Amino acid sequence: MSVPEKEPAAFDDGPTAAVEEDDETADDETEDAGDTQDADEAETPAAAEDSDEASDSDEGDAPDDADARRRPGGAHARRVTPRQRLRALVTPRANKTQALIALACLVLGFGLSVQAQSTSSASSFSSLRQSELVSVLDRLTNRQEHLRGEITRLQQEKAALSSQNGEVARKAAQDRQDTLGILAGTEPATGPGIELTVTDPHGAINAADLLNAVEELRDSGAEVLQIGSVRIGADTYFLDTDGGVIVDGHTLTPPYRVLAIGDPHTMSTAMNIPGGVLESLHRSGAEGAVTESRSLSITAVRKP
Amino acid sequence: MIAVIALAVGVVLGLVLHPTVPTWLQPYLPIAIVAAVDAIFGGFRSLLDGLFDDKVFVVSFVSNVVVAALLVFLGDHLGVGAQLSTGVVVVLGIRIFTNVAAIRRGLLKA
Repeated sequence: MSVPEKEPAAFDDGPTAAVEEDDETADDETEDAGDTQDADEAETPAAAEDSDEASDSDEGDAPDDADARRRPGGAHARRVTPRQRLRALVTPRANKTQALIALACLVLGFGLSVQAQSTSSASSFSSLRQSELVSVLDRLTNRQEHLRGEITRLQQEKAALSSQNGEVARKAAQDRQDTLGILAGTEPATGPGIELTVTDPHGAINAADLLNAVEELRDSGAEVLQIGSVRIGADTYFLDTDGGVIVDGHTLTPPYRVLAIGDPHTMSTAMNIPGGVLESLHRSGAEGAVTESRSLSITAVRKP
Repeated sequence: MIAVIALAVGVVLGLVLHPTVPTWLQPYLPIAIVAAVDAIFGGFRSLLDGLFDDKVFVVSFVSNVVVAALLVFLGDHLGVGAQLSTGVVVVLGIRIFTNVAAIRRGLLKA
């Protein structure tokens, strides 16, 4: 609609291709304030000549007079470019059109700021549906119960620690020391677990394979690990060497024997899953065997 | 000019008065605002095209807002509230874009 020359064509019977595009745009998009006019003008194209003289002088006030709706945009646009209309619009005038636009803009601005405020101030819960809120509430209730239980337990522990003259405290400290010692590898440990034996007749196993096996065991819940005569700790390293693997400075040669304390069933399942440790060992030319044990004793320790 | 001033005044009013949006209105206000924005742009465009009519403008403004809110209301009660709001917003967004494009063509001839 931008080029004035095209405007009259928009209301002609046979518009050119380029103009037709503009025409469509006009019909579709101006529905808000323009659809009625479009219809009116389509019915009264002949009015174009009649109102030519009225179009120039009062384009800012145009919609005020009753004629405005029947004045075709084509005739109007012949004289007045959109820029001129904008200029006319920018000049403040106290007429009904400007007042109406102002009112609409006022309402819009008011609604905008109110909505923006309520969106920024409200929590994210306000937009959730009822079922989601119920599940959130459920989770919170569960968590609350859990935390309450923990409070009770800790309060009992605190009472026991402060009342019985240091005896309980000493025992708790000892327990803690044992646990940490086992985890750090400075204490021997006994418990249910598995024994993983890796036979490697062709020397196909390298440090990465062993590390992989150890990581798998840890993932599946191994708490204490020993490989050969070496207790595995947080800073254990694996290094390739001729005919074997160096673990923490000790040279290990096949067959490798890995002891792991933890849930035997979980760990042996983890070793046996497709694509797991045993299968990848088999693929690289070695064989692994898992034996579950009710009571496994790990005696190797790390120096503190 | 007056429109811009009125818009600013409206924003300031909203900030100062700080009214609480009633719960029943909360799902519909955003859609209604988008519809109002669409109506404003449509009106601006038709004004640049020389087709502006205040009665049509007011009616389209109000009806846009009401119909948009009504659609969302209907969708909420049919159980497709979220989808229908998305649909309404998409349609209004497309309209706003085409209106702005027409305004741009009119003003910048590009």
